[in-house]
Amino acid sequence: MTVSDDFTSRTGPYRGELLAHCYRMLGSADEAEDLVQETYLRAWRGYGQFEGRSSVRTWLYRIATNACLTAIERRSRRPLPSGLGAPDRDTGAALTAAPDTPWLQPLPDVLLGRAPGDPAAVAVSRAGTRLAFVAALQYLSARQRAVLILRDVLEWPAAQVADLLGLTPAAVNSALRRARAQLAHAQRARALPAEDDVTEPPEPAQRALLDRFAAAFEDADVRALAALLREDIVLEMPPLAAWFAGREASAGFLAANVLQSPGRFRLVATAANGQPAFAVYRCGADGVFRAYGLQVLAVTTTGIARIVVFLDAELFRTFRLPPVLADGAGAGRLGAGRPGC
Amino acid sequence: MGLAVLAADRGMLVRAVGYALSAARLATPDTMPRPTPCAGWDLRTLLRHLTDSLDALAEALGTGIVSRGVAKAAVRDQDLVRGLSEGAGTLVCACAMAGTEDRRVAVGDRELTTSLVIMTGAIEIAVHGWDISVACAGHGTIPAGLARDLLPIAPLLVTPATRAGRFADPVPVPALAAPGDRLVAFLGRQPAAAANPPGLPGLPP
Repeated sequence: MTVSDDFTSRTGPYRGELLAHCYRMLGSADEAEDLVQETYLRAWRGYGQFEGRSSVRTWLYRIATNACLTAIERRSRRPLPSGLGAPDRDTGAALTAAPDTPWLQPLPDVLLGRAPGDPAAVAVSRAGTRLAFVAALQYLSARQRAVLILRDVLEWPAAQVADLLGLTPAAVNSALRRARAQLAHAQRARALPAEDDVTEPPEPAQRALLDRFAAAFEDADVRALAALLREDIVLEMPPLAAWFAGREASAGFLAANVLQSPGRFRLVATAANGQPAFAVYRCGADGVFRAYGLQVLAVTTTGIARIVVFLDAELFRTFRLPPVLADGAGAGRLGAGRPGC
Repeated sequence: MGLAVLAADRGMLVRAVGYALSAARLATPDTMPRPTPCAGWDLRTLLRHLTDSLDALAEALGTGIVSRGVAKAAVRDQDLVRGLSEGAGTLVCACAMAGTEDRRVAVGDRELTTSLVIMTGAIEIAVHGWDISVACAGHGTIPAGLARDLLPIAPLLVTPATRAGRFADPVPVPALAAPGDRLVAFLGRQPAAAANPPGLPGLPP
């Protein structure tokens, strides 16, 4: 076995969870991938000096966390629209985009890789990646984020976190207390549910609800759609600065601006941040359905609690979704041969 | 990261640029419309793309002396190789002047370490050098020493997550294939294409 093979076999299995780690720290899948590449390049360079005093996994987390801390120093936080102001009341108002804001980005589940023999590794990657949780993390300082993620998401002992960050265990515990308080404050102030408040329905019920949602959206059936939303639903659509709170406002906005006629949209099921998601394709004047936006849903036992729509066709590439939809494809309508718009 | 490592990184980039330039010397106005291993790109498009890449890299490494506009669509075919040479010269200068620390540089709206920028660039330039060579029927495989240095790094930077839109899936090769063949195969090219260029059936070897 060459040094290269040895390095690959020892470090390769952690790539998915390191991507999730960098994503939690940074709030952007693209930036997280850059930082993971940097981590692996540094690790490869330093492999000759790696003495095995910690595990390879701990060593990689140390490199990745330090790279993230440096990267965060140099830029502003990534918000969702709900983090920037009060919800909008006028559902018919002109919408303005804030394209220069570095918005929080979704994390495609497909990037975390498949480890069929190792469900534990997948669980480590998925933990603490829910969109609302990562949005709340953005209100913590870089070091608080690192402490909270390593202690509360990855469940590392305080001594190990202290070693990684070059702090004493007492300093880690005190940073953790402040980070938890800051997180709770951000969650209250920004209408972001705490991680343990989220109860998803069992799989068959969730699947049925998602199917009905996709069908209602494709059919522009606002009444059917509204019935699936929770009374306190939040709807936001970066880069649009406006966001809506409550069923009436959200359904009103969709009716006035989006769901004007059936057949304009087709939805393809995908997954982001460990949550159900839909790739939305919009019909052009030529009858071709092109990438339009990506909806990430928070589904609870009492209905859909949050919809974040990323209006960014570029995202489809990272989700390994085609930019143009083949004829007949769509969530509820595969092969149904529905006419074009 | 030590100075020796950064020097080695830059050495790889400069060697990749040298290889691509030597491949491009075989380009003539007649070869410009020829297909390349990059789907949908003829040699003309590839030379323009590579010149743009060299310019962007030089800019990223921060000399501020990027020769803009060389590779614009209006450039005449006979000037494309000259444009590539100028871009290569600028990049090699930028590399020499880029300082010795592993800084972060802005690439579009991203911030990357110079080390990552240089290694990503070296891989792209080497493989495009091979593409040019194939289109010109030059059979110039990537030099074994350069390929051997790039082979362990390529899988760190080109992963299933980053491959989409940049490189096709890896092509299987025999375990004992030459390093250059293994590198281009990892980056989604058929090494055999060097012996049988696309769209040029019946050309003598």
